[in-house]
Amino acid sequence: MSKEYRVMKGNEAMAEAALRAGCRFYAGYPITPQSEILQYMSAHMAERGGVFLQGESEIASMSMLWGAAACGERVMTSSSGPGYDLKQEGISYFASYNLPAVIADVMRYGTGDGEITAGQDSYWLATKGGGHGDSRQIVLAPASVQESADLTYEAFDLAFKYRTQVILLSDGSIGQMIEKVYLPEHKEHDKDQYDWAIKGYKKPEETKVKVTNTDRSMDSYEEYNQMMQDKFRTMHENEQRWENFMTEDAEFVLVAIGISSRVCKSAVRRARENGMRLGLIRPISVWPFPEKAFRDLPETVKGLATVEMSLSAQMGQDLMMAVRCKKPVYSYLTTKYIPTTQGIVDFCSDVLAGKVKELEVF
Amino acid sequence: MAVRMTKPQMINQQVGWCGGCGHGIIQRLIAESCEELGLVEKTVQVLDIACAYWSIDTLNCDGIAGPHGRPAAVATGIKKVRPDANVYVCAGDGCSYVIGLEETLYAAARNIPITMIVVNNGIFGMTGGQMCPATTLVGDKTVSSPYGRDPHTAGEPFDTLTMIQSLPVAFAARGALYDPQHIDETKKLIKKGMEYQRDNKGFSIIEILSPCPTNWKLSPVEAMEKIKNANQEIFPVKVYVDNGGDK
Amino acid sequence: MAKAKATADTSLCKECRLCVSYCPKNAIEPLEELNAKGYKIIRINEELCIGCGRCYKICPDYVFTIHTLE
Repeated sequence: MSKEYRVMKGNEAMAEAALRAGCRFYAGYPITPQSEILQYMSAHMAERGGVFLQGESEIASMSMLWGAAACGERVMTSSSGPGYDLKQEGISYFASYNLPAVIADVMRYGTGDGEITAGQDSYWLATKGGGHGDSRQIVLAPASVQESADLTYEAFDLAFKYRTQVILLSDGSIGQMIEKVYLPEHKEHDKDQYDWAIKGYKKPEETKVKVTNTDRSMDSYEEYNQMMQDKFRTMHENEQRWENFMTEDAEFVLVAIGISSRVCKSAVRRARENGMRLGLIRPISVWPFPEKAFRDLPETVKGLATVEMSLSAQMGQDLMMAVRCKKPVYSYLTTKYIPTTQGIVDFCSDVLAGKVKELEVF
Repeated sequence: MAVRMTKPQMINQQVGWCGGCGHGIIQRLIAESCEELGLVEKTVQVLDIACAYWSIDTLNCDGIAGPHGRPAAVATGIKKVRPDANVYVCAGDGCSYVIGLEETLYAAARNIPITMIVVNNGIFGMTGGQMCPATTLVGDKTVSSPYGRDPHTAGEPFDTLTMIQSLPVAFAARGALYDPQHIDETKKLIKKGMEYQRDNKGFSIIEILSPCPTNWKLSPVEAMEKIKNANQEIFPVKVYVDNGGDK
Repeated sequence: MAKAKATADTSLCKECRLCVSYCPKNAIEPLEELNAKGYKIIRINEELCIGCGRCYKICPDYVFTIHTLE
């Protein structure tokens, strides 16, 4: 890791890390609270010899990205809220031909226009497969400006390792937050190294690349299906990431991502000052959900709770599946409001006092 | 005996279109243009998922088919990354002028040096013959305008090339397939578009009036007559923009 | 004496009959005979054919080849 650091917004750190990872094509459409990514790309892509396009829509931007990715280029786009909805068509197409892409969703709160402030209620949309059909994307959730840079940088390698789409699931707080960040090394990407990519020059006897709704280099749908299922299984097995924070002796474990996870850390410390042994498991990958983190919970753990800025317990359902009903699961849902330290501590006190119902799934 | 005219080598399979469909003729014009300009090895075809899609296997070049309506944007992405490639779009009027009108106009507005071939057959062919809001003539019966297109409810067809005329493109023209002479003229338009792309002059679009006898419910010969007698009255065969010469 | 002649690979034919209509010499005869795909095919009358290539140009299925004669 280089010692070069800057003080940047989370959104800017994502953009700079992408350029350092060899991203040379960005197309997107402005939307709050992620426009700094697009703006940073507009200012700095050309100096790296790459292409920046402000698309006429999210849909068009995704299609431009699809063309560039099919040429083997490292590509990125970003959006939020209603804009991220419009990415879904493109994500489905990317998934069908297994094209690599990095797509940031800096979550804002609410349905419809909702709010332009932070939210976490697009968790389901990001983690349950993009667009129509059946696909899985690696989804990584940064909780700091440093992690915004680090995960973006790594996302490009993962995207090409598995020929998949990697979603960076940030939120309006992490994206707008300004922190010190150590930046990764610059690297170059050779777009001509892939036999699946359009090169723009083919001799008559060479096999031609046909980028379309399935990988036509395969003989049958059965072969394609098997390849896809194997890929999903491999990514699920290999790419689970999480952080344990004071879980060794915990009597109650919080589970949170992004801005909520930062407040949870404060809550863990404050609760422990008062004798309540809280811990935190912070998923860094949310697809695959880090089920391994919950396999061998300490005997001391009486229950777990997600802390989410949403109406429904979205991650709560993933947590229930991960603990396989061996421990009670709760959810503290703060909707459009960033949770407070005391609010989380009080919620946990109430749970341990038997005043809170277990999570209902609906 | 020497061969004077035969199927271009770039076409390496039988075609999948209905009998009498103009797509097969257009595919030949594209293939001959690529061959005559020496561009076969550099060609990337960008197709829409409707009837134009059949070329993905029949033309021996790299190909890509993306979301319906988006080929102009897909081609933009490809051309930006592979600027030396001969990137052409072949798509229908529903794709280019209805669901993808925005993508078409912005590719033109950015003057991306791609060649866009738009098959104007006045109907949604692949989905079974529904009205095409941009190109179905007033009064024409389709399965979604069963009493004939009514301009009071469905609006009137419009000439997208007049919109493109206001943009800084290299070339915009309309050809037709209703007789061998017009087919030859149309091929010249396609070649010109690809030449302008090769010479980095800018965006080129060639719209082609093409028959869909299956969905028009006419014989192939009657369908050609309809283009000649009705469609070209609304969609005139002419060059709208030619900015490719020395300026 | 014509300088060129058309030949036809009627296995490709899809019964559109465009060639029949567009032949300036009425040299293309529609037949009731079917090809392997089940389409009615055509036959070129070599006596009448002048090898002008109109059939080649109008055919959507690349049935025709035009040969020049020595």
